[in-house]
Amino acid sequence: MSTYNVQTAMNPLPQPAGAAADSLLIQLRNLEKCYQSKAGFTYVLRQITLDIAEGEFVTVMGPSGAGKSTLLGILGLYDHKWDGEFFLRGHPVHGLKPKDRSALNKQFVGFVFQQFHLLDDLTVAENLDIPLSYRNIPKPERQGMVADLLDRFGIVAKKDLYPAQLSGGQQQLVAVARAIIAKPVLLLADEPTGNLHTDQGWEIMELFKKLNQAGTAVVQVTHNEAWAAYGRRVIRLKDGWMENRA
Amino acid sequence: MKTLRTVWLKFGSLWRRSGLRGEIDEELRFHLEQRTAENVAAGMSPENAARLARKCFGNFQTVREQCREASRASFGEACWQDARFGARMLRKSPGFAVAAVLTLALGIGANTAIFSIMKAVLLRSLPYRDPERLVTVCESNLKRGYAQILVTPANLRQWQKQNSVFEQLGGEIYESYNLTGTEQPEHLHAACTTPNFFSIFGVPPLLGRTFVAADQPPGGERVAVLSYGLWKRRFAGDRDVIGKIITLSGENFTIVGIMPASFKIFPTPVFGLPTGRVDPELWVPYSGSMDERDAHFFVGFGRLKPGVQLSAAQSEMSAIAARLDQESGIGHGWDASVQPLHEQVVGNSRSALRLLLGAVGFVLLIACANVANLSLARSIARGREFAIRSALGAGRGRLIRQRLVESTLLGILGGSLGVMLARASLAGLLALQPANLPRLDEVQLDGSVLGFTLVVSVLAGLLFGLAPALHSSTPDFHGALKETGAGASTGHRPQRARSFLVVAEVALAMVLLVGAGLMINSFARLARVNPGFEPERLITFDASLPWPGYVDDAKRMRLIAQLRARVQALPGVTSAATAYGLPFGTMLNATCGVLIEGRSTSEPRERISSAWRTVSPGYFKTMGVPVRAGRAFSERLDTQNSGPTVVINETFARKFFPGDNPLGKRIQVFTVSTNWSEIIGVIQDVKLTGLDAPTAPEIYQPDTQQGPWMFSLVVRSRLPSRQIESEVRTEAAAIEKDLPLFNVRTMGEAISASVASQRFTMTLISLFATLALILSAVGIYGVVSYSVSQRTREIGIRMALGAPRRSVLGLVLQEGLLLATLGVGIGLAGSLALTRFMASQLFGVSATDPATFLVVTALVVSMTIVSSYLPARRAAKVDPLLTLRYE
Repeated sequence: MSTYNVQTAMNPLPQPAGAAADSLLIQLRNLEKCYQSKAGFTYVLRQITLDIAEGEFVTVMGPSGAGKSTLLGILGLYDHKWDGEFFLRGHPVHGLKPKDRSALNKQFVGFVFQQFHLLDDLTVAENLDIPLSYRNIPKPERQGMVADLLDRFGIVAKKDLYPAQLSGGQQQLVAVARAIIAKPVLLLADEPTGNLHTDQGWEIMELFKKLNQAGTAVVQVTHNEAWAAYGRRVIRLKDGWMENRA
Repeated sequence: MKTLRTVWLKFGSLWRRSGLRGEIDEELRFHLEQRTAENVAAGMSPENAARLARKCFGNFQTVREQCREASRASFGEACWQDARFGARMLRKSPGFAVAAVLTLALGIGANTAIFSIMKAVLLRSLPYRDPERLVTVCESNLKRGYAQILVTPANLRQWQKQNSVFEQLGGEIYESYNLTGTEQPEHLHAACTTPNFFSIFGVPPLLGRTFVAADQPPGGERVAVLSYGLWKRRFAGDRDVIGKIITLSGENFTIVGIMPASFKIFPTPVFGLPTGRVDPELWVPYSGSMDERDAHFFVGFGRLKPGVQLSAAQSEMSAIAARLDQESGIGHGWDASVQPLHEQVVGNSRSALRLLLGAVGFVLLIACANVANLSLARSIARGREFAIRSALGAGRGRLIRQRLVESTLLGILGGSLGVMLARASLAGLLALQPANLPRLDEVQLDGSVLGFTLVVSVLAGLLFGLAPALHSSTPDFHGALKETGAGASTGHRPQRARSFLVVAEVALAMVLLVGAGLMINSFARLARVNPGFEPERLITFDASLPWPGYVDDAKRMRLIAQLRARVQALPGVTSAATAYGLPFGTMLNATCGVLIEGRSTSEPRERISSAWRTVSPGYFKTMGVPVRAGRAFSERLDTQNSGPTVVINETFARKFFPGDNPLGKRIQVFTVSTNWSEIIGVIQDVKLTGLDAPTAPEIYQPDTQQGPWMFSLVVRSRLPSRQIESEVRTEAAAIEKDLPLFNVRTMGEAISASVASQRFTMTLISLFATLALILSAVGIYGVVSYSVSQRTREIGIRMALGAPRRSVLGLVLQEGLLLATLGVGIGLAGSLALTRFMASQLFGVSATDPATFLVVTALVVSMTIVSSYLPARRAAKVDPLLTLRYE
């Protein structure tokens, strides 16, 4: 348990089911996602069965519309409408209420978007502070954590700038910092280098590598084979089906 | 309920630290026990179950400290953080901020202004000791149509002796004095009172003393108590004025006291009192006989004994009045009426002020709907921001709170500007001179009014922030974050909400407009009422003769005739006349008992009641009152030596001589003289007390046969009123230097003053309705305009497929008209339900007047067409190629 996760302490989550859950971070069993329309059901993900271990670095690849981002949304606990079984650190997500899923998200997950999605009207420091404030962490503690991260990422000088005043690479750096400030065990990245030029892309990927080496599991979606190679294995999706495991 | 409890607990946590600790401990213990119970249920022994639960839970003390620390800091701090961010967002969107703050300021400012008036008039206690124990005590005679009428001195004395419910019971009589013996004689409104008058109100004098029993003549020296205003104005606030002698209408009075500035007697709607506003500037003890049984001229005031209920006082006073009625042998249904003083003073104002408060409430709701609409549009634009916040861990409650904090901030900003608007507009409102609204000089934006404004501002913020907050709390994660731009897909939900708000706005505006339409219609009808005379180019003066020099009746009549003749001779004067009791005047509304010869005996119970006036020959001609039968008074024929004569009005003739010719008949009029008088003429009915008041039977006697102490001079002239005023004053001073003329005004001004309250209500409601109409128009424009921007691609495709511009124009207008039709429909139903509450404010028009409803409907539909036309025209100008290429 995170030392500062008060909400989790106040509302303890269901405990992992069984000792086997201890070594696995994610277990998906026959996970399916579909949309209903007048024409019938349109499946986006089909019978996904997948295990991801603690501290693993996984790359998800596939053509547009294959279901990569949808899978990432489900892993990030942002999408609640799917079928199948999903265990996160042994917690049966499929059996949890939306509120408990949100609590799990806050406790375990960090997310990096292709478009950075920094809040335009907040400074760099405030953008980093926001996830902590949503976790009800007292301000003095937050200030310390933000200062520490600014220092670690070498962006102390930028702390009072607004996102529009940063380059794309700097914005993504802040976005990654923001994603990990709450010390997640799982970092999800949806085409994190998609909007960056190559040098900036390398920089971000090296950062992911360091984070992964420090123990954070990373699941990234990318179209770039070079970035994909940072993952210890690649999962390929096509038309919602998982093709193979590399 | 759970959410509400959580919010309450969190608010409470800002102040209740010790209580919070207990709650956290209890919560944590509960979870441990639950976990233990689950483990036991799974088959563990209680010891093992508890041990495993503690292990899973972690260190209890550490978790508890973390919880305490977090809970203490988080809520207030997060609110502050939201407020700071909200302020920053407003700075970055100045257009939105200015529009929202201005709209709210109009609504909140109007509410603040009307509430400040309502508070001063209705809600503030009267400025007396224990004001809730103060009552008016008057006579009543429902058989004769008097709900409340002034009290005879004899009855007042008996009431004082026989009652057991009042700590003090007394009264005052309206009086008029000339302050003479100074360079500039001045007329003063005054009151003659019973000695205990000031004790009733429990207000001590600022200087000196008030009256004691020994002051009451005969025997006592004549004494006077001055109002603060008179003391300041005529005596420059000299503290040594106590003991000095002043001359009032030729008699000497010793000043014994000065009342504080706050002491005033508010007018009450008792029959017999002047119709105009007369505030006494000094008080003297009543010097007349307390045996008078026929003349009603005391306003009775009483202070109830502690613990005595109003109903008990009414019962006892009714019993006493009935007994006195029987004992007097009159037995004509005389009763007593005991009413709370506060109710008497403000009762007539209540319905009008409630109506106005309702109207401004509607304006505020419309303003809130408009700002909610703006905020919803912004919510759509900020969809990405809220999706990110949600992705970063913000719960629904947190997102709602952030929006509500932002909207409350806007509300408070709007409220602050609203207070400034209210302050600026109050002077204008009070300048409308709503004469019958008491205590307007006490209207101020004090702490309680500002408190009201703060509450209204916060509530308004919460109200208009709710819909945008709910919308923002469920961001579309996938849709919003996949968009590369700032915007996000909107879906139909917010547009439906915005349409709903506009329909509500139109409905509310419709109700207000119907209300305003009815008031305007009513006022127009009131203004068209024929007063029974020609008020144009008439100027009136009031005068009160100095007492000692004019005891002789003939001397009074000579002076009045002389003044009339001199004024009549002035160049530019068409005619001049004198009268006691002009229409819309400020003198007591005199009534008298009348016997008709041959029809009734001399028994008092047989008397009929009639309004009574004395007028000069030439009065009817000067006033332009047509003589329907017989003749008017004549200088030659109606003299002191000729037989007494009277003129009656049509209502008197119709009521008491139905189908008969009243001319030549004789009646006995119980005034100063009770000789039988011959009816020599019948005049057209004249409105004496108000355009909306029913016309009572009236009797006119010539002032050439008995001279009044107080009279009015009425002059019809081609000259400007200021010029004629100056010349008439010169003539009056030339005849009698101690005869100040007062209350100088044109008849038009007098009539205008009589409808001031109706004009006040009508003007304000019209103003608020106009505001509502403008806000609704802005609302419709906003929604239709936004809809056009969302449908640009669709419109482009339609036009590319050959749709003519007229068809596109119609497509957009149709949308606005659909909203308006729904709003008008709901508004009409609401108007039918609500306007009946304003029926008492209307004159000559029903609360469901079809013409008004029709005109207002047409107005709202026209407004909708105009509001929708601009975006429709923009839509019709869409270039299909450009639009589609852009898409």
